[in-house]
Amino acid sequence: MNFNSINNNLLGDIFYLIEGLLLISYFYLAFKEKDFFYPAIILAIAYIGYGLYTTLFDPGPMAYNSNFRTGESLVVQAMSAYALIRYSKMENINLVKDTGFWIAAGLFIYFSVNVAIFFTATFLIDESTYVMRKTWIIHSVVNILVNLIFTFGLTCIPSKQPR
Amino acid sequence: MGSQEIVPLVVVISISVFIMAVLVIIIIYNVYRQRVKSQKVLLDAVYNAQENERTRIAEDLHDDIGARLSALKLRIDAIREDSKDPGSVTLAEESITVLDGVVGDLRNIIRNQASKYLINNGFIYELDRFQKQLSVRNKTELIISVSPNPTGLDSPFGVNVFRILQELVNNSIKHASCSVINITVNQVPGELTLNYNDDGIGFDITNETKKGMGLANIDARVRLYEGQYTLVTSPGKGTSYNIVFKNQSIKPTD
Repeated sequence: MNFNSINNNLLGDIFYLIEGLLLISYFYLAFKEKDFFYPAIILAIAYIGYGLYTTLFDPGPMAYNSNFRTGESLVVQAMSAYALIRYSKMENINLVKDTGFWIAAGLFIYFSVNVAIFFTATFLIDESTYVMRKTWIIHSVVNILVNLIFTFGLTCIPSKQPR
Repeated sequence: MGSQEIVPLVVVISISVFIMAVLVIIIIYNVYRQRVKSQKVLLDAVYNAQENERTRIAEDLHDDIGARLSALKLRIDAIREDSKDPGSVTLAEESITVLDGVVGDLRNIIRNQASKYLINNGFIYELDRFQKQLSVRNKTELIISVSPNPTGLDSPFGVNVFRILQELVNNSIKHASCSVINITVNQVPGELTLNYNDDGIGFDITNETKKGMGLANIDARVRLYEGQYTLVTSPGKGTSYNIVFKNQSIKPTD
C-alpha cells in the first residue's frame, strides 16, 4: 500500500479548525475579560467561516489548504502579541516565572514563523512537493524550539509554592 | 522561479521572522523590566517619604506634646503636694494616673511611628515591645517566635518587614475578630521566611472589595524587596500568610 497516495488534507483542515478555536478559547480564558467576549465570538465565527470556505471551495478539500493555515497563524499571532503586551503591563507577576507569558511567547514565535512559511507557500509554491517538504522541515525545527519554550513555561507552574 | 530556488528564500524569510519574533519578545521583556524598576524606585521613594514623615510627626509629638504633658504632670504634682484639701489631692492623683496613661500611649505611638527606634534598638527588641504593647491593649494573644540571632533586620529592610507585620496584625485585630495570632520569623542563610496565622473569621479571597488598601500595601512592600507570598484564607477559617524574602541584602531599587 502506498501511503503517500492517501490524501489527508481534509483531516488537516479539521485539525486547524479545532486548534484555532481552542487557542481563541485559551486566550479568552487566560484573561477572563468580559470586553473580549464578543470580539472572541466574532473572531471564532469569522475563523470558522473562512475555514469552511477554503476547505470546501478554494482550494477545496483535496488540496493543501495553506490559506487557512495562514489565516489561523495570523489570528493566533495577533492574539499572542496582544497577550504579551498585556503580560508586560501586569504589576503583580514575575514575567520570567509566569507560565502564561512563556506560552504566549512560544505561540507568538511559532505562529509568526508559520505566517511566513504558509504565506510564502500560498503565493510561491504551486503543487511542488519538494518545496513543501523543505517547508515542513523548517516548521519542525520551530516546533522543537517552541516545545522547549512550552516545557520551560510549564516548569514555572507553582503547585503550592509561594507566588 | 524554480522550486529549488524558492527553498532558500523560504528559509531566509522564516529565519528572519523567527529572529524578529524573538526580538519582539526581548523588547517586551525589557519594557516590563524597565516598568518594574521604575515602579520600585517610585515605591521606595513613597515609603522613604512616609518613614520621614512618620519620624517628623513622632519628633513633633515627642518634643512638643510630650514636653507639655511632662510640664502638666509636674504642675499637677505640685498642686497635689501643696493642697490641704483631701478631695483635691485625690483628684490630682487621679489626674496624674490618667496623665501617665496618656504619656505611655503617646510614647507607644511615637515609637511605632519612628523607624529610627527600630534601627537603633533592633528589630527583635521592637517586635518584643510591640507584642507587650498589644497584650496590654487588646484581648488578642500575640505569639511571636524568631530564629536566633537574625541578621540584616536592623535596617530599612527590617523596617519594611516590621511594617508588614504591623499591617497584618492591625488587619487581624480590626477585621478578623481573632483571639490568637502566631508569627514566626525564620532566617536561614539567604532566606527570611515570615509565617503569619490568625484564628479569625477569614475572608473571601476572590472578593476584590474585601482586599482593600492593607493587602495592596503588603503586596507592594513584599514586591519592593523581591519577596513572594502565599495568602490562604476563607470565611470562618482564619488567615495565614507565608512571606519569603530570598535575598535580603538587595536594595529595593536593584
